[in-house]
Amino acid sequence: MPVLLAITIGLLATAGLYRLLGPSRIDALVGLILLGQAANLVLFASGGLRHNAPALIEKGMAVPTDPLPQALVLTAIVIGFGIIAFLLTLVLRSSDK
Amino acid sequence: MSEAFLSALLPVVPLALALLWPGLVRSRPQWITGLAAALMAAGSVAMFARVPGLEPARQSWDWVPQLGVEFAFRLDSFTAWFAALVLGLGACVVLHAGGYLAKSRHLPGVLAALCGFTLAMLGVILSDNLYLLFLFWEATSLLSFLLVGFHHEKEEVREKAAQALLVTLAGGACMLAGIVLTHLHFGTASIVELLTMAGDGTAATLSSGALVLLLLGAFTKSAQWPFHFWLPNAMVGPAPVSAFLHSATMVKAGVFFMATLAPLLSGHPLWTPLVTTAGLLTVATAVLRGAREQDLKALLACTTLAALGFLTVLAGLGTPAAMLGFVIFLTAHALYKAPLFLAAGNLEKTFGTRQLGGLVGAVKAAPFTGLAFAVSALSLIGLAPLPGFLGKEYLLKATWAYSPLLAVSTALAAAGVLGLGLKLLLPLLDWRQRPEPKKRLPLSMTLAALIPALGTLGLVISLPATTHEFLGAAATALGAPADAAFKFWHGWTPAFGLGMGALLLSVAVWRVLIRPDLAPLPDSLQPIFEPAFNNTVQAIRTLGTGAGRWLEAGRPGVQMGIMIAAIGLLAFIGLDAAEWSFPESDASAGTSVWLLLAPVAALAAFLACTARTTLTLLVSLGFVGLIVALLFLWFSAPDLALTQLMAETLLLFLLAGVLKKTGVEATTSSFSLGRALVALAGGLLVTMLVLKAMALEWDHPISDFHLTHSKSAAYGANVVNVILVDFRAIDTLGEILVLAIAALGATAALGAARRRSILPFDSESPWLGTAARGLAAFCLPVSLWLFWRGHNAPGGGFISALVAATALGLLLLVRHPRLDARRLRHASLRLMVGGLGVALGSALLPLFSGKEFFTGLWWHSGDFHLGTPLLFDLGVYLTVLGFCLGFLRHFQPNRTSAL
Repeated sequence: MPVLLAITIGLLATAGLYRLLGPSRIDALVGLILLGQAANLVLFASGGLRHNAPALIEKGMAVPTDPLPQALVLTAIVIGFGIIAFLLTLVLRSSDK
Repeated sequence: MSEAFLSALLPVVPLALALLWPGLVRSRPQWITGLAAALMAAGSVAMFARVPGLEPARQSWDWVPQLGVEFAFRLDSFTAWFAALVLGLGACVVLHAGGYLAKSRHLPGVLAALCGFTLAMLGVILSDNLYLLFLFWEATSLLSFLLVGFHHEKEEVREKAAQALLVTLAGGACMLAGIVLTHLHFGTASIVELLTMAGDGTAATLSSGALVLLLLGAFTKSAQWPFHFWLPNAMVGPAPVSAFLHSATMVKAGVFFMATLAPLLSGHPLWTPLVTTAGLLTVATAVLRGAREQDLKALLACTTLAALGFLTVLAGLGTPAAMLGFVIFLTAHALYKAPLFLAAGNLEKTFGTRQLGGLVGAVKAAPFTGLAFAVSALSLIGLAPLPGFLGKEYLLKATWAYSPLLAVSTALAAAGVLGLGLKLLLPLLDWRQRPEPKKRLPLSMTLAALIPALGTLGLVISLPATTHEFLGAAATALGAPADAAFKFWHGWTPAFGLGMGALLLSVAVWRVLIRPDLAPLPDSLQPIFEPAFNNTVQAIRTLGTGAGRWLEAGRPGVQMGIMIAAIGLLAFIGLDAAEWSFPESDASAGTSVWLLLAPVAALAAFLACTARTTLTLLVSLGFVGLIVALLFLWFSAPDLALTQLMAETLLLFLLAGVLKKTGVEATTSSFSLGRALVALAGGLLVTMLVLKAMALEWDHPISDFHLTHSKSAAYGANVVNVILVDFRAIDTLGEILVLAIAALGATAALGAARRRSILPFDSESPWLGTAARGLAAFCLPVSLWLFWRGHNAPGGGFISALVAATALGLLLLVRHPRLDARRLRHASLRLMVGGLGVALGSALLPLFSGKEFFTGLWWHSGDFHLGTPLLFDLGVYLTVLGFCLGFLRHFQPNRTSAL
């Protein structure tokens, strides 16, 4: 299972890099989106993965998941969204001729 | 002690004025520069008054104690004397600049730079810590670059200013290395402490490399041979700037540094031979070069070079007698060189030329400026009893005491310099001719040149009475014998004989130099150091351009490919070195779902890679995002799944709009093997990285802390949210600030385009309209609910704001009448400013109840807790919503013609 996940993340990164190295603006944009997904997953996976563990602290429940990578990835998703949105406006601007 | 430093800080006032209110300086140039001059003159007088009987004092504040870097200053009779000279001449220079550059738009900048330059030079003089001294040292280099490059519209000026900067900065870098080595050797970087080791033999074992590095710094700064070439080139600056650089600042920093450390470092066997040789060679070069100059300022620059050479010789000797000579020579030179340059500037303005030929008889035509010039030039020539005479006498006396041979060579060199002085002065004194003044000068410029010249005369008159208290005390503080004093008459000493001989010889030299058709320099004496320097700089430039051309192929793909390959290679080497093991499979992870999802993810990624149409691209990207969200959900991260889902939706919404609007096709390029290989290698690396990371046994002290205290200290069961709004709230504050800046950046980028409709489709479909409205009506309350429960259940400010933004996006899609462009723009700005304000306010509130910044304040009612982290989350919510609106509003179909 971890191997399968690692390969999936690697494939996402491959696709992202391939697009990123392409010649057009849209290539760079799509590449960054895919690469961003892969990067978030790398961060998430490196914190240790657990299926069906409680996400909250409740009395009498098992040990919850590690919240720190989650908090990091959550902000990373929002910031990544911000960057792509900004890049989109640049694409828009550069097509204003 | 501290009052003395206050008087050194007086130039801060005009500096601030020039920076904050440049318009005032431009409209009242004479008043403001007059005020600045008065302040600096007051500082000078205050400093001067402290010289007699000043006990050496030191004041320090810790800066980087681990590295021996202190914010430390020292004050003794010599540094106070020198500081008084700098401030006094600075006052004259600023006064002169007010007239010289009165009509210039750049006067405020020049005034600020001059004041800053004065402060930096005072810093060099008063610093006790070598590292602190270095900082001020570099500041003088940078500021002199700005001042010399005043006429930056001319390419020649830019080149020469850059040359001066490069030479002095390169020397400064060497000096820093030398300072570090010196610090290591002596165990202290404090000048006062270093000087206590003078004469105990510690200096003899200092490595020669350290000594040479220190000297490289001092030689480049003081324009010593072979780095002398930058100083005459720096003549391209305006006259007041040249006057200041040459008289009391910049070049004097180098000789000051050498003289300060001379008592200590002259204990090193290489010090005296190296330094005196460089000094004498500098004088010789200056005479050879000056002999061929017909330009008044260039000729003056050569006499400065020569004077610096003599001062370097004295610093090189390092004996008490030499220190005595150093102080009087330094003072005499500062007092005559400043008026010479200021007067040269006046003559240039009055008669419109700087060539000696055009200024014949100028003293008669411009009597006051002429008086200043004549007195100063006579002091340069060393006519008794002017201070220049004393400087020459003590120079020859010190060198004779060291070695008669050195004294004779010094006297010969001095004869050459005196010849230059005659060449400078005699044509201007010609009473038979009288050039026609082209312009009247403001009084301030004449005064500025006259005041230091009067200072020269004042020094002569007051010297017999005050020599012990002032100049003598300064010399003693620098290392001259105790109770030093200066006398005009020493009896029939060898030094007096040499001095008289030099004066007589100089007349002969002058007869040779006066001829304008002087033969060019023989090949062996042609300047080689300047071309060598320029070639080196050029070679570095060529190398940089070449490397740039190779790395920046003009195509982002290639450039990024090189970078990615380089980073990947480094990461690979690092990974390979680490121990390798496969992660253990977790049986509870439920493999079956992933056997299904992984191929879907792979397919979606592949499609995103090769998509030929916009629709394929959007669908495949959507799938990738969805699978990532599922993955988050599967591995117990509901908050992440929600965020991912919402961010992905909004992103696709924006992407669809941009692609449709710009008409850019999803893909235009054919398959490229190189790209594919780099990408595959990168992907493989990421896979290895993930495997490696998952196989590691982590220690989780921070996570454990969060899990333990989340409920008890922050009253939240959703630890992810608690981390975001409480434990690490300051990070989150930075993050939402970044988002707000990105939104403002987008507004700036699209400012011109914001009136246009870029909505991808103009839907009139009633189905979509109804459904979108219904969904939005559902989303908005859900958003509030998610926000409210965020602290104890999946949700929170980020997620709920994204949900609300999605709802608004849907409404935009169907042209909701209340959402026009103008309203959205205002709403976006207000939400962001308000959100940041609320977030910051929640962080500041605890300060009022005496707690630390960002401490949570809580109000409890049974099991119900309300606190400032919730307020902070509200700030996050508002900012993120405003940020999303800031982008979404560009998709608003335009119906209102106004903004």
